[in-house]
Amino acid sequence: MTATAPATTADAPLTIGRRTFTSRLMVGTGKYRSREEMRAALAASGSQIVTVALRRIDFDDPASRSILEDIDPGQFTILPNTAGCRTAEEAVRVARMARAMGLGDWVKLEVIPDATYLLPDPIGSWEAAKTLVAEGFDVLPYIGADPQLARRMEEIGCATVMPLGSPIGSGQGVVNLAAIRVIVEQATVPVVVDAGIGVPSDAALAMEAGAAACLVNTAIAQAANPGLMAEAIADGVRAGRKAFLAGRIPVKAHAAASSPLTGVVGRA
Amino acid sequence: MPRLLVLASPGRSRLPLPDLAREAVAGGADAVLVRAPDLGPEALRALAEPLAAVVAGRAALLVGREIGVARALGCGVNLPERGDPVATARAALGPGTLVGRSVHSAAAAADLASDGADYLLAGHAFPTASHPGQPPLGPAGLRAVVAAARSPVIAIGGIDAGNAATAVRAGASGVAVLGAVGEAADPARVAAEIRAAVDAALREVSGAMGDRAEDTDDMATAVVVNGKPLAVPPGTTVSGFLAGKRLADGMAIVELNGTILDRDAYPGTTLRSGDQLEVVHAVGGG
Repeated sequence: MTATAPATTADAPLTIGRRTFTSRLMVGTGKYRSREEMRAALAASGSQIVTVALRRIDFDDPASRSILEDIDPGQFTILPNTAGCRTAEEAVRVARMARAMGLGDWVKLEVIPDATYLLPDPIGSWEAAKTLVAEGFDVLPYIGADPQLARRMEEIGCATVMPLGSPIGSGQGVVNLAAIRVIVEQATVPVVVDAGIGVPSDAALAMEAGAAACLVNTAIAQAANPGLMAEAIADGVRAGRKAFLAGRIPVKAHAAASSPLTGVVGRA
Repeated sequence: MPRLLVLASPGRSRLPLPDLAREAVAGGADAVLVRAPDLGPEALRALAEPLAAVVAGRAALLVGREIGVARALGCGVNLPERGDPVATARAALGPGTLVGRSVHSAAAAADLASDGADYLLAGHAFPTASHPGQPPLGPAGLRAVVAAARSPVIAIGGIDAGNAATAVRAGASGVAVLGAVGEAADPARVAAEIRAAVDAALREVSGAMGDRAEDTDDMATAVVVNGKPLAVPPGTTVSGFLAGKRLADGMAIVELNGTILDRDAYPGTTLRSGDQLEVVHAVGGG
């Protein structure tokens, strides 16, 4: 018997605007219990893209320091977000600050007016995206899983669309898979499922549906063991991606036996 | 920051320029600007080079417009109103080298607010033979430039010992002179008279500010940082403020009155009362 290497397809790199990556898991840097846990989890995730937010420096807190001091710029590309911005104007302002800070001409765009559901404002996001694209940004807009909005974002030159799986930090998983499938089907930019992922199977589900990448923060940061969960979710992303490339079988209504139905012992 | 900047310009000096520079510095000039707009870089360099040794250690030397010449001589540069950005000069000259810019109006000073020049050379302040028939800024115009400017303002144009104090009372941090010293029979004496007038007026102005602020911190500048009122010592620059907060290098970004400041502009940007600053850094986020 000869051993045969498993037939694998070399995956294409993930291209977002002017940047190219091999990892398909992006991770956030919020809500970690300590900087040590965060550093360990970032390393275990194998991610190449990590997101950060921008905030006023608290001069009353002597321990306050930039998160960038704990992120190796040689290992990770920093993706600034506009989290906390409620209007297009605020988001554009923060994106410009991030660029002035030296974080590059790209931004994960969030325009979120409500704090209960943290659902993005489609109109404000679209307006901000238009402005930022005109200013030379690669824009990665966080959006509801609305296929028509995704198209409109793509039309004005966004580098990705980032539909949410379920509300930010909720860990509900991917509750709108049908809509995400439609977004994937018609998109010509990478679709990054962002928010709501709780466990590796959620990430796998999104990747199996054809998402180009997932962005995960809370599920890793707040896990009992963030490093281990980072590894697990990275596995989930890889598994889902491989399954997507491999091509799943069609779903059937009835069973289809895996073993031959003929020559069964003791039967004519 | 120069209080008395003397321009050394061919055709506007009775003495050879190195001699003028020596006299001017002896009289109290703390900066000498070699200005020769009709000359190319090579000729400007040849003209300025001998002055470097004359003023070394006693006053700052600058050349007009030519960053390349400034780099070659290791001196400062005074950029024209519509010249290269200050950041370009800083990149070429490194930190600690004086980079100034000429402006002719408050509008230009406002446009250049985020340019980060160490000083603005504003003129012409008073009627002058250099600009016959053109209306001067006058004290009101000078005051408008100071109000719009982000950098200390040095008044130029028609300055003499008689009106230097007027320029300072209008908000100038110093004055610059061309003919008044260059064409004087005794340049050192004239320079000394003007310098004395500037120093006296500056004492008078800061004394008046002190009186106004007698019940508060010693002449502190009141600013708002990240939404909180804060008093900083007068003359505090953005980089000085950040250094005082022991912020790690290059981690913060500053927005001043709604405009993002280029990091190169931090050392040349002096905080003024009423300034609104947003000082922002990266934090954990998803």
